[in-house]
Amino acid sequence: MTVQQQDLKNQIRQALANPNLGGALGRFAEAYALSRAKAYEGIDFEALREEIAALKAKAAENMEEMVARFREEAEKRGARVFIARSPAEVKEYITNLATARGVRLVAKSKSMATEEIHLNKHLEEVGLVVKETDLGEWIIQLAGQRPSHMVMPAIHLTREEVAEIFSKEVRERLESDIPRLVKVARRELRQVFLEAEMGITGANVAVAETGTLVLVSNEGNARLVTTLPPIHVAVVGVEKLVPTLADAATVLRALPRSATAQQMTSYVSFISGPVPTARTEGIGPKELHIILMDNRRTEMRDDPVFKQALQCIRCASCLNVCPVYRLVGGHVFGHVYSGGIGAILTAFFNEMQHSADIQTLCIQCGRCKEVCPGKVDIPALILELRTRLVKERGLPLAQRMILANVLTNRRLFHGLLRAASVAQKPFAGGAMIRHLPLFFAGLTENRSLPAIAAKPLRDRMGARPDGTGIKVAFYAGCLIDFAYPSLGEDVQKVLEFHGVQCYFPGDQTCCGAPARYSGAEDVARRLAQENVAAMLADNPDVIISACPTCTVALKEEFSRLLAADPEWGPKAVEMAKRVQDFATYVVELRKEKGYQPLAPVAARQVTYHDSCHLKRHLGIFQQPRQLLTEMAGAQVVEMAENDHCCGMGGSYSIKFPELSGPILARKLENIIASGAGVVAMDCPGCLLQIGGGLDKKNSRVVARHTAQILAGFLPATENA
Amino acid sequence: MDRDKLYERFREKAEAVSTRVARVAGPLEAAALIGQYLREIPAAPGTPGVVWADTPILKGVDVRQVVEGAGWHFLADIQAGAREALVGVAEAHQAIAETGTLVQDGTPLEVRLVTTLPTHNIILVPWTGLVETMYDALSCWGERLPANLSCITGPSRTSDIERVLTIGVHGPETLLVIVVDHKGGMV
Repeated sequence: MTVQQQDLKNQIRQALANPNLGGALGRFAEAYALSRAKAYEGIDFEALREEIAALKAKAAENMEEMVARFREEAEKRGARVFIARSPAEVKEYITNLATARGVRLVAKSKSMATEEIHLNKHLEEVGLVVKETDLGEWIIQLAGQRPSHMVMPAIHLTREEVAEIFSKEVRERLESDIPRLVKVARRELRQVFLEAEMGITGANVAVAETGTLVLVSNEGNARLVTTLPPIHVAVVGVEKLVPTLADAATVLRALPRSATAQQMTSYVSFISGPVPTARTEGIGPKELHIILMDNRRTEMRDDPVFKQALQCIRCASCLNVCPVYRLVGGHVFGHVYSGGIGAILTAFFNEMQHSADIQTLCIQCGRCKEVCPGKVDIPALILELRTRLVKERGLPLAQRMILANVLTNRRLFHGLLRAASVAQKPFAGGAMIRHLPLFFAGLTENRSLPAIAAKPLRDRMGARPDGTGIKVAFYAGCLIDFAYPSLGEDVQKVLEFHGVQCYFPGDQTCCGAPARYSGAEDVARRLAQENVAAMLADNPDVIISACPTCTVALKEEFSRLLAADPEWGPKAVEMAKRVQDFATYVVELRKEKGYQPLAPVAARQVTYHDSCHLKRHLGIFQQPRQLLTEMAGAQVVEMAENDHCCGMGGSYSIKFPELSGPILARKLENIIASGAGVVAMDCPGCLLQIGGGLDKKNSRVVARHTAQILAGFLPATENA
Repeated sequence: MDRDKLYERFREKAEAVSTRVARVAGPLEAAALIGQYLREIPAAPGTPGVVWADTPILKGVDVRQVVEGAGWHFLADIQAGAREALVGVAEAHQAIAETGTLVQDGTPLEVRLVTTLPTHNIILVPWTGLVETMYDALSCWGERLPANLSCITGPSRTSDIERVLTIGVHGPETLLVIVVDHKGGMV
């Protein structure tokens, strides 16, 4: 483990040990999901975010034009516009201006752009007094911390801690009563507004056609900062530019709803030119300086993959739904900008170095992508970041050895798995391993592990099609092949019951997900090619997978990885067309055959866990529920947060068991609270995590793959 | 949408974010309501008073008399008075039904002082200023977009400490919106 990784592990440990943090973030995350949904009532979110993504993408595409137009319009209205390439230029401009005007006190309204360049620190170094006026920002400024959330900077602090911080500042003993603390802030900061000679803000949106800055706030501090001091300086990242006022209104439909679950914030100011202000010599025009800051944003725009990140409107809803952020907060999961999007922005605006460790915390569950109003595919960008980091620096030796030498050598890999099935014997109790010794102990701390089967699926199922009718090639994936071979047999039973023939192409190997999620694309590419060859070998009509991670690999990733390969690229595309997930295919077969559903049995209650890859990547959630109802007569009772990640995330649960554990614990609570005796799912990875968790807990609830349940209810003869 | 429906929607949305909303028939009724409202505000001893920005909608109403009639001080110098005033009265141009938002030309310094510094705000808006969405509101300004266009939705608020909603941080703690029709008493 490197020093940085050790640091990260220590930070995670500290964050998890802080009950205030987990409590505050957990309560907020729960409340947010509901209030966000309410704020969007009556609004077509998909259409809205389509519109925002398109207009932001177009604005980014034409960034230079937008900057020029904004400058022209704003200058026409009397503002001074400065275009800064680097943070140093921004700091120099403001310092020179402050010196020339004899500024001593600066009032600031919350701005991530100025956080990004550590402006306060610089201004203080040149002798200015800088006061943040947003309540949250003021709190963390007094505490000497950095924001832990892009919208709610002090979300990690309790009222007691805030009382402590304020007490020191005002030198009186304050009670931890929130309205009173707010009053103290009002009193203290009112003086700052009145006395400051310069106000500094950011902008939430900037409108090119009118040279307008749009400032969004709830407290009213942005209005005061732009009203009272005679000089207003706005530091605006060029990605905030949109073409028209109507576009700004479109962004404003989503920003408050996504950020704070409000339909509109208390204040929105459209500033288009200097306004009258009180100067020492009487009322005169305010000085308005707008600094359009690039700081590698055009570089981001020129990157074919990362340009998408410029569609971000900084609402931070991605943090609010992130299962990892919820546990550790933005000081661990973030740098200046927090969470997954933070890792991406930090890599460009600050240092790649800071992102290298932060990005590893993403579990790839995809919840952020689902709520992003800018349609930024954050998990995909994180993977791209990972891949580039690996290309640049390589993987740690041990990981490299395993991925490159073991995973790509099917005989060796499978030989090792077979050997493991013998070696594990002392620890296995039946089909489960409850405790592993020494450094493997972390693996069984939160869950039992399935034992490696004595006889893998590849030794149990026919390797060639040998009947008539539709030929279905089963792609098992490592877990079904070696840990859950009987689940594979259940898949076969269910499929063959529906009149197709099912076989196991013998040359198939790992789908490459562990390599891909570690950023080792070269390894993933070799595995992709091997699998494409294996799966097409006997020219199957359909290729079925009962593991959503594998399905995504077969359906989408192989053709992407092999796109540049003239021989294998087209084959991968051809193969992908035949791939279906188990549940969808069975629903289709039943429809063709006209099979009738079973009558539901009230006592047969099943709750369903939506796997991240199946629900959010493949968009499948209704089909398994339908099968459970129709084929098993089950009554599906929904658990709370049914599509929240179980904490498995492939090797994530091995890399970060301390995070995977609490995410699993929450899932188990929800499962048990549903009251159902069985929890069904369609992913062997989730089955390993959830089944192992329930076993470790000695729970009476059993975890089953949908195929396992269906196989148990197959009638002796067809019920057509 | 007809204006009565717009008004109902506006009222519902504004009330949902702690705004008091009233509809009056004309300027005289508005003045009377302000007087009544001022009498209701619990004023500490030695209350400094009221600052009142230009309200063309109440053309002809003696606003000083409204304030003094309610037992308050009328602070004529807004620049000096806004710092101590407990109440600020101003006018907005539009009211957005979809979100309960007022839209105001905030270019004059007095307007911004009156709507940011005092603890209580009373904002008048013409009945004809009711629009459905932010798009409608913005498109009305066209080429005449002022240097400062301020949207106000409810009083000042924060949830920065433990996500607990607290009303009244740097701006007003209360907001009364009076939608003024032109059917009522003129001066």
